[in-house]
Amino acid sequence: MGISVSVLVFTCISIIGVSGVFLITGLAGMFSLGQASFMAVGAYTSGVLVVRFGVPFPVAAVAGTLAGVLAGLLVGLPTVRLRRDYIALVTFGFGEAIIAILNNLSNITGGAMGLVGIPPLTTLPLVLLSAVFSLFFVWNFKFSKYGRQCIAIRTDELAARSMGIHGDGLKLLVFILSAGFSAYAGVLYGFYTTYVDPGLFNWTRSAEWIIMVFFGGLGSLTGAVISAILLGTLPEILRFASEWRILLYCVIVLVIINFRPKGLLGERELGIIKKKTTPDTGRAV
Amino acid sequence: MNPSVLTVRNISKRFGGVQAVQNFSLQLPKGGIVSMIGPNGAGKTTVFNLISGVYPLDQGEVYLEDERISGLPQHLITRKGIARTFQNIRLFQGLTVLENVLTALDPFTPYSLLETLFRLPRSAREEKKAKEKARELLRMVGLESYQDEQPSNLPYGLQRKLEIARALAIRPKVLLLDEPAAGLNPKEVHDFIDLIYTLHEDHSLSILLIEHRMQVVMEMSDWVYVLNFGKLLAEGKPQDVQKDPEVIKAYIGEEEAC
Amino acid sequence: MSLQQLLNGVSLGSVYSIIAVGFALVFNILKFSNFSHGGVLTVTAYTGFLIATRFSLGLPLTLFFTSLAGGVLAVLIERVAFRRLRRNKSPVIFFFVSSITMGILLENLITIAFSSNFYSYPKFFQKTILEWKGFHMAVTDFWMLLISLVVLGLLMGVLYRTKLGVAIRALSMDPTTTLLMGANVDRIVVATFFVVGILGGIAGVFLGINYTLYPQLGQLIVKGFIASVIGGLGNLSGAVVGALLLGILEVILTGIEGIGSGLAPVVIFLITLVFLILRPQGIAGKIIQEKV
Repeated sequence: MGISVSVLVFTCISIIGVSGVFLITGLAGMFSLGQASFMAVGAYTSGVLVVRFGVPFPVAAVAGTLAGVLAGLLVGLPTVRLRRDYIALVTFGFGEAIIAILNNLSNITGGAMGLVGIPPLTTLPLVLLSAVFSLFFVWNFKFSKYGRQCIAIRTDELAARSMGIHGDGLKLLVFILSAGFSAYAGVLYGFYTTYVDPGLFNWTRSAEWIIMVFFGGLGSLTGAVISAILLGTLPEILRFASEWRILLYCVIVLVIINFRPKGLLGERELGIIKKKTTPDTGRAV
Repeated sequence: MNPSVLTVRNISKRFGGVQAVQNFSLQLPKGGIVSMIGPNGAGKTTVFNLISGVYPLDQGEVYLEDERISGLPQHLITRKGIARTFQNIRLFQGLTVLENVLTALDPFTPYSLLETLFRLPRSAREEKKAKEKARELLRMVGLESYQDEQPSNLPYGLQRKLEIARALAIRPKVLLLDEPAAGLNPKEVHDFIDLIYTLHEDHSLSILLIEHRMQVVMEMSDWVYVLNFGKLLAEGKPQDVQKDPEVIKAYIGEEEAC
Repeated sequence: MSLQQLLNGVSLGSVYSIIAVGFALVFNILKFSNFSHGGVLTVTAYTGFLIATRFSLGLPLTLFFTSLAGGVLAVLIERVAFRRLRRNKSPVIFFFVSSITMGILLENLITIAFSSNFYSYPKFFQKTILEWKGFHMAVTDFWMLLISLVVLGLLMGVLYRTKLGVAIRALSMDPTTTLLMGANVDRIVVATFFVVGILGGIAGVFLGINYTLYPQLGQLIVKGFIASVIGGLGNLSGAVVGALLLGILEVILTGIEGIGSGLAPVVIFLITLVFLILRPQGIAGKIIQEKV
């Protein structure tokens, strides 16, 4: 089939990132154009800790993820109560700010030339396991009171509040969680490619993940995974140059939005991965 | 002890150049059914929005029993015991009928994020309990067999019932119904009145109602408030209000007052 | 802050204001943030470059043809990215995603066509700096300021004195009633996009002159967004004011020692954030509370 290990690794990393975006965009309906910057936070924090301070990898990985979570909290706190366009703007601004900071702290981060010499500690089993766990977490989240309330908020925030749902609190929670997912994806990324530079984590990468969620159907996790796999591996197999790949994504999104706004699966999940049946009806959910 | 479960005192709200509600007061006695009527644009829904916290008050207070709720965020007001339905049905379209009711139970369901992520036993247990409660609520309004349907697939009258089931999930002390009979045919209206009465009895609900259908208002209300241009025009027992010349003038116009 | 900086800031701000107004116009009538405008900026910037170099036209003619190109492009974008959504009454999210996608698509088309090389506009003028009582101003800056003022004035004229303008303003206030009044909403939307495209074309050329050409030029649309937010989303004069303030702010920040052009985005981000928290309706706007 010709799919190399690296394609598999990158796809799994995408899946982890996309799980986070699924939470924030698919479930809660927020548009964050800054997810990639949380990835940068994760990659750089863990990378710098290992390269410059000799911290052991597991500790650095946890630190990187936590840094992302913290960043998510800081950015999310003022942002989640804003209207949708503004959330996009603020997260975009945050992304730009992070890139600017990373470029400027060249003593620590290597600036625009990037951080080199990150040991290659990300293995395929680790990435696969991480991807599976991410999906496990997000799946459980979706089919819980948290997921339902998020969907309620996305569909009709006013009505949701009238039902006693704490809109801002949930949105912040989801924001923080997805920042964590992105940061962890960044950790894995950095320790696989052994090199990161700020330009890798720009808003188009954030937009790519959003596109994957859209393609699969906003409310569908399996859809998001399928599109991450499809859109991640297809161009690799077919050896597209990166600009054409993005062009392809864009055309796909435009077609979907115009002709099949529900995406591949809409709100449905495929009952392949896990079946959850309601006890008395016995029907798969 | 306040005999009124809901007290609205001198509330006002202005939107830009329009005074939507001016100095309006209202009492909802415990266990009572009170209606608000008035021509379109009179400010009735705005009053609901002010009570439930959608808009902040410019002036005035709202008390639930003895507790002041005006100024609290919307979701907290709901949790204190005020539930509502909407003029244009606002159901959650991405969720099934059962899930719609579940979302109203969700803020009260006791399991944590960690238990959710790792699928620990308590989360499964509480979910099961919540689903049972939700099914019970659907049974109350006769929607149990539709539990896995999409709300948009339900006929209009049933969607209205679903909104009510969802509102009841909060275990409210006060139920605000905004034109609940709008769009229903006469038979449906009749069923609807029966349903509200049953729920009212079974759950000792206090109900505040906005309605245009005089049939509903006359049959159900203990007391009626009439609004016009955001101000109180008249109040009283249904039969008295119906005969009030000011009220008739407001609804129908000068020539027809008879 | 020196007067010189003020001058630079104002001329920078005048370019931003054209972007911001184009942004605000679409927001007014369709109620979403149109990020595809960034794509228009990029494409027209390159188009202008081609026209200027291949045909050696001076600035005015370049602007003329570029703005036409911008107008046509914007109309095409409306057709492809937004028309169907309007028909289907899709939720606002979709417009937003569609516009971002369109923007990315255009950016990448340019990247493919021109690769990531940097290009520069040719010099339009012999003298590059104007001097007056010790103040300097780049000739191009001067013309940008002047032309921006003229264009904005023309726009105001169109909006307030022509039938089209009335229609656009009506549409922005109340789409349903406008439709009921028999107006052809489609045509108004197309006309608005054409106008927006013209504005984009002009701004694109100016950006190309000021920043040299690179495919990510369209990301400067964010400035338009920020300006609109500061000024009050949807409010045209607010957008202009916001843009001028932004331009001045950027010049000042870039001049400060510790910040420079590197960290200026950070400061601007923080300021925008503060603005959104403290005064989300912007300087001129009012919060429109949704009628439930």
